[in-house]
Amino acid sequence: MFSFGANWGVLVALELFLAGLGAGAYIVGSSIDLFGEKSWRRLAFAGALMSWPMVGVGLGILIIDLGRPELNTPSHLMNVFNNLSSMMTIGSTLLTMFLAISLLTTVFWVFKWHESLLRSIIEIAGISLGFGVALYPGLLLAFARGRVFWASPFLPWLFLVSAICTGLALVGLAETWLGRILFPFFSTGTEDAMIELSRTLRFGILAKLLILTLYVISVWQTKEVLTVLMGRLAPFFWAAVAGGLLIPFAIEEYGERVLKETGLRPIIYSRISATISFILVLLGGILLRYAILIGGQI
Amino acid sequence: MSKAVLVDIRKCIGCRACQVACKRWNDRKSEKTVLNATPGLEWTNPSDLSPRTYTYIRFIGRGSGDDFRWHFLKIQCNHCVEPGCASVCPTKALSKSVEGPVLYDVEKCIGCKYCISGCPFNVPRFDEEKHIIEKCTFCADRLAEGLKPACVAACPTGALSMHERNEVIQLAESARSNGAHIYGKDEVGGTSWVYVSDIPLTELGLPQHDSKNPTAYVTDMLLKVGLLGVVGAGALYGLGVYSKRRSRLEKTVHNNCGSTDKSTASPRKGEE
Ligand code: SF4
Ligand code: SF4
Repeated sequence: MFSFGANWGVLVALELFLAGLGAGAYIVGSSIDLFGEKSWRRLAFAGALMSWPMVGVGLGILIIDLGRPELNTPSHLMNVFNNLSSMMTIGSTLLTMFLAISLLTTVFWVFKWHESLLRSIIEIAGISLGFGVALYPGLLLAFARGRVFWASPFLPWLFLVSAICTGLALVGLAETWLGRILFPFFSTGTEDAMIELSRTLRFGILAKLLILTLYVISVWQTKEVLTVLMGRLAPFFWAAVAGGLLIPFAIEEYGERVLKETGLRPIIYSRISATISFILVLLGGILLRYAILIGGQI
Repeated sequence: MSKAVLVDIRKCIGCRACQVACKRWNDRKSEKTVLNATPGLEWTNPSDLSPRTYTYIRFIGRGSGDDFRWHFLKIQCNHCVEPGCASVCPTKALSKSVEGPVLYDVEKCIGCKYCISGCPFNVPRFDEEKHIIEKCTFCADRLAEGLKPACVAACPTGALSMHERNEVIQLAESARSNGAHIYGKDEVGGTSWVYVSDIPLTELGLPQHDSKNPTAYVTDMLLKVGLLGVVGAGALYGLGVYSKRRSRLEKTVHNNCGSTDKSTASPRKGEE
């Protein structure tokens, strides 16, 4: 219904979003583990733990959405790896490898092999693959020559930054609500980490806003821009901008001000505002992908 | 040898014999169609390609008063020399044959529909009933028997004619030297259906494309993406250096003033 007759509809938008979300959560989590304090590990674990289900569900949706469901057998689906110069083949390869490595990282966490050098190596490989997975949806669209609205080199970077923002939001959301329940075996010194996460998110939102502006300018000549900015898709696009970027930025900015003035964040404010802003960032991520994906096809 | 078709729309009278011949040869069932509602295209029917319509004639009215004229533009798969559809297809279900047609192997297709977006001419259609991609086949089965495509054989005016591709290019070039406009010689790396017209084909609605073939197009895009990445990484690095310096400076000022941090509940990173 919401696909407006486009060949790639809502489910593909959801798949592109989930792939980015999973990759983003992994990049955030593993970066925290590699470069953050030891006491922040709960967040790092959350990132790894949530990355593969997101990517896995995304892949599942992609397969369900294929146009020939009667042929969705493993041997037939292997055909997707036939053309190494197709971005879809490259993307499928990246997704498969990323899925394996994020699962492996989670195994390392579950067995508490915390100081293992091997885990660090796996995480570096996983982060690299994560960047590939986060960039691939944008490249997939940018390489499609029949869609002028997608033909912009800014698109892959927009999707990458969006993936990291949504990854930050997912990790933040998990910590806000499930941190103590899900990961009681980790230390609780995550307050600092949450403050850093919030700062990074604000920076990410600003970067996303900038890249989105540059992207729109780069495709300004196309007629699709009118449909997306002022036509049928405008509610989705502007909801993504206002709800997914501006409001969360304002919430996080206000939190930072309070922190600067008082030296602490009121717990109640923290929880509720963080939840709202994280959820808005996630919704914004999917709405933006949806508007761009459908906008390129109608 | 690679076959190609010259579509000289100056000779087309809009009789739609090619449309009918295509339907009959390829056993395309009829479908309910309506006249095109777009101003200037009113008599076009069917108004677009579909799984059951591999080709149609676009009726394009241009000019006004005594200068008004119809142009008849045949639309079908252009059987690109290096097809965009085949270059994005992950399964290699689409491929360019040495004889000229771009062929579809239904056995390999997974139904991802990437070819639809990858085609620079908006040609492939997905049949939601049969779950397959549909597009003009260049009558590859007729070609194999030494016959012309059904549409070419049916054309009463010679607007459609099949030759080797290099001959088609020669014919197109000689028309150009006499003031005609051509399309398909270079666009997207060249196509096997090459148009000749008395007004620019892009004015009649064919998309504006440069001469980059799919590989050059992707390489070009990738280079731009990479360049932006380098610029972005440089900007991030600069920002990092700047913010580190700033926070060091702030700390120094803070220490010199001898003030103490009020924060006890949430010390910031590096301040513990
Ligand atoms: S016109 Fe489109 S469908 Fe036909 S060969 Fe070229 S890219 Fe493929
Ligand atoms: S739908 Fe079929 S032919 Fe088209 S790109 Fe996908 S696998 Fe290839």
